[in-house]
Amino acid sequence: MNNDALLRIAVTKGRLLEKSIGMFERAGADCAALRAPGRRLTLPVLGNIPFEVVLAKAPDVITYVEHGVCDFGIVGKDTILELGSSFYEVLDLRFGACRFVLAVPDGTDFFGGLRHRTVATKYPNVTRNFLEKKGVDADIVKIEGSVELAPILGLADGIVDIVETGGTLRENGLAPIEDVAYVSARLIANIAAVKTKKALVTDFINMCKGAL
Amino acid sequence: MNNRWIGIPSGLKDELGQETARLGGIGRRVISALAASGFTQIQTPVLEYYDLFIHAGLPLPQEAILKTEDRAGRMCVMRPDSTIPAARVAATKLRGDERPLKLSYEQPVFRVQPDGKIAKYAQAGIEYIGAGGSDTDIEVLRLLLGTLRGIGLETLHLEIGHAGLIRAFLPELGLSEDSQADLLHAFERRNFAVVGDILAQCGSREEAEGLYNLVMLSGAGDCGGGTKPIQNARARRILDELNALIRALSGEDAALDCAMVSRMDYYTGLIFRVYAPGASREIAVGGRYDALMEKFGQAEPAIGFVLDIDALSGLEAVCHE
Repeated sequence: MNNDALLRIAVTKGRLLEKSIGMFERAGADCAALRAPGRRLTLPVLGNIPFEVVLAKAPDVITYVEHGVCDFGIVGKDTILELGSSFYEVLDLRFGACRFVLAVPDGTDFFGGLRHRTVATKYPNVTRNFLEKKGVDADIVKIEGSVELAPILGLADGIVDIVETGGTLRENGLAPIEDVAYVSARLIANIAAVKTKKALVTDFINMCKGAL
Repeated sequence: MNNRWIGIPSGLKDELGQETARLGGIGRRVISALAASGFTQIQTPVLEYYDLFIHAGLPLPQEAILKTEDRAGRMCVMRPDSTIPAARVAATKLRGDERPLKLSYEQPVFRVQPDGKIAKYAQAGIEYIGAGGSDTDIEVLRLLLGTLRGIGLETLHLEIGHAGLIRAFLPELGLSEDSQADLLHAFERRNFAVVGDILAQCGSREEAEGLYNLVMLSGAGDCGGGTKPIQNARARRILDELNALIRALSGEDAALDCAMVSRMDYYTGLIFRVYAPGASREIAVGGRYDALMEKFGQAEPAIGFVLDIDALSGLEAVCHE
């Protein structure tokens, strides 16, 4: 585990980083290093509660927090549902909101009929759990890139993916038919850090809460 | 050339050189300290019948347990837990031994991770069988903290909870079984947004508010002072017991965690976890399981704890001689 006197936060690169910086700045922190990271990998944020940020891909944020090398992480609920197991999910940060949906080619009847179905997704675990709950047997195909392509190519009967506006779905002739989950950015915490750095951890959570 | 014979199953490792000595050394010192307090070491087989753990109600999903068969075709498992085998031994071969029965063990457990890797956890612990009551609870907690100090850990943070505390509210909440499971999971994860959502759809507003106050109004999951009085009589009794326990442990860094949910269904009363600076997870866990022995035809109270030797071996403060 890292230094006892300083908090280290793993933040998901990309969309959530911009919003996270906004939240830290509303809380009065100086995020100059975070705005211009250059080649540095650990970035100091100065303010009432100084902390250090590492930028990571979403699945790595979870890995760092679970292993205790970062005290906190900021990551989407989609990644938590897919990969998460042992950490505290302490705050819904409410930014990065989108829908997790099952979408099918417009006009097709996904649930009807007896045929075996195929679903394409970047989130095989979420998809498996969702389909199990619905009582649907299906083959799940893991796709790394544009999932919308799979039904067009005839690889899948539907997709499970996150959707912001629905524009991409519509352009590709897909329509959402079921909501799988509500997705937004979450503040997650290493369990042992919450117990052993209680005062610092509580201050940080309250700082984020106050800047939502 | 085909080199498939040269590897080992994913998730397992060879323990070589210093590591062998470190892991073995901690276990040996723990066992000898426990022997000085009257605990006799037992060793149970690495393979046991699957039925044993199902009968005892081990809550692990079957894909988390490593299974094989014996030559007769009965399903066996690589020991996924040591408390249930110890209870089996206590209720059968050691049935006639004097109570309280004080058993210690140092043996690994095996689990299958969600990604399919096999995980081996080095553990040492005790089972204290045939003694109930808060005096025994205090004795066991002091023994646990003393054992950890004995291997060099000075700074320890103990959190106690109760397997029945949140469950005391469940009957009145009118939640479906699925929602109950979701609620307990949300408590375990400190996902208070979800806790709030589930409680908002409860039939009994008063009970839901009582539970919410218990856990939420007191900060990030613990319940010191300042909460509204709890109406639920059973929850109030449990809180009084836990607070008395904390007072009895004066001088220790001990705190109440009202949101602690037992991971093992066999726990019926006090549950506890110990944290230490530098460790990224609990270094010891345990609890009271007063209903487990009954499943083996021998109704008697029992309590136990287990040390995570892997987590301990990574700590600088632990002396390794």
